[in-house]
Amino acid sequence: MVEDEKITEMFFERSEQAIRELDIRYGKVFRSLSYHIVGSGPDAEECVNDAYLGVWNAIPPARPDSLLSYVCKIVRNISLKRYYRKNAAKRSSHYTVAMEEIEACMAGPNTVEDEIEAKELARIIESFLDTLSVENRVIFMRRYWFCDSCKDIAELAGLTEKNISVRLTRIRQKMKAYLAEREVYV
Amino acid sequence: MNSKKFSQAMSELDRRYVDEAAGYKKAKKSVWAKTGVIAACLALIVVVAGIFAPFHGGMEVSAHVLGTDEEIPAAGAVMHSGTISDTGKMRGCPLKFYLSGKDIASVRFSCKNQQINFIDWTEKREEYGNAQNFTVVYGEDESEYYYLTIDWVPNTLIRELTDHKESRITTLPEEMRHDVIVMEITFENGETATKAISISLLDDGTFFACFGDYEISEADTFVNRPDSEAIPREILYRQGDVPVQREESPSDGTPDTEEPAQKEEWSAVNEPAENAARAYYKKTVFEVVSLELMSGTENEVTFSVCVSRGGVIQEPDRRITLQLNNGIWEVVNEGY
Repeated sequence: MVEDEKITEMFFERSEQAIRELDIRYGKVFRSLSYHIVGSGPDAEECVNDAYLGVWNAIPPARPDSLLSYVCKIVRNISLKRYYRKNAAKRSSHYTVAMEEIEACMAGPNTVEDEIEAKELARIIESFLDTLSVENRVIFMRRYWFCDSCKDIAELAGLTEKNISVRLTRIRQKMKAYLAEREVYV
Repeated sequence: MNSKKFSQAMSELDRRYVDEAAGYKKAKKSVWAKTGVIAACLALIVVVAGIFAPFHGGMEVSAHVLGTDEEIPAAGAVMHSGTISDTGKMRGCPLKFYLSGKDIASVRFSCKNQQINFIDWTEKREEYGNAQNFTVVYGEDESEYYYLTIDWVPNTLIRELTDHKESRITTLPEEMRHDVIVMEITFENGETATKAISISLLDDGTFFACFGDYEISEADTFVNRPDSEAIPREILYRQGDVPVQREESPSDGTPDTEEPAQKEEWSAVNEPAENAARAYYKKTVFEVVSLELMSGTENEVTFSVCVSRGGVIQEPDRRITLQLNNGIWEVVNEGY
């Protein structure tokens, strides 16, 4: 399997083999991520293909440090756009369920002046993530960024599904308190 | 739209969080936990022993598990005397030990997170109940050291698991899963040594302990806590000469109400029966975790047995009855 640096070089050389190698190396991860958001195999396939086109256009000039997270971000954004465009909230995807979980932590005065910009909120979430152990941080990210199911996370972390569920509940409670302390309402 | 804003914010997170989660490898928890503890203990022993060895050579002190008399090794070992479940149910006791050595004048015990209970089975010394810091006078008579026992009592840990249904061993905070008992030892010749027993609760509910030299650091503020007050002897031994705590025969192999000589006699009577019971389970799929005497006469003994199968504790406890026939203990009944 070709390494990330070589794949990036292929993109710089404008070799279409770069897309194929990227798909061989990480295609499964991208499809899983997209599927968890859009909840449909064909839609996920389209999102991943769109993401590959986006990567093709972005590299060069971009030279990402981590090819995996760079493309994951693109896949996620494209998948979220499709999710909202198709009103996918009516569907039962992992993303829908994950977001329903997090709603309780986000509840607060929903006035314009109280709302916070996404980027500002991101910085606060980052500082919150820094307070977690690596294991809990990964569990949180796998659930709310990659939209993995508890079962998938349990397999990844070598823990039980129940354990993951309990940990997520505690992390959400902790985040709710963390945001409330900083008077963050979204 | 709250979740959408959250989702947008998640998209804005620094890539390092995504990298960390994307590259996370499955952890083999129990193995790593055990290995980590062993490695930490070894490192502790190697480093601190190197510092202190030249200063108190010959002043050897070792710690032994009560009941089995096995030495708690520097590299550590899993204690088979007790386990705890996710629901906080204790089986047996996690760690009871006594010190062995020569010319120990006194030992100051400091337990970092949980509590320890000192019992003097010779009834000569002060006792403190469940406490964290206290000093025990050992004295010249080394034969008495065996009867100066320390029981590690993890009540906070048990409460956390029993009071919070969602609590699991694996999700407990570090300070709940690890503890250290520091022993500041003064010898008769005035020399001193500092030892410690480090205890860890493993994922499977067993306890891992190691014993070795210890260097008290500034962060070890628990050592600076004042000593507990001794329990007045009139309360401790309020029923004549019989200590209150010793009226009932403990069921986990700990010293009972009897005098040391009688205790040995008690053990001698039951040991063959216990060995026969353990031998019986060796031929089964079960592994004995702890064995408690339920009732016994000189010809018949019944034990309550906590067993594990494939590393998983089985509930409820099993029961085994043995009879003495022609000088040999034979199993006559086994089951629930």
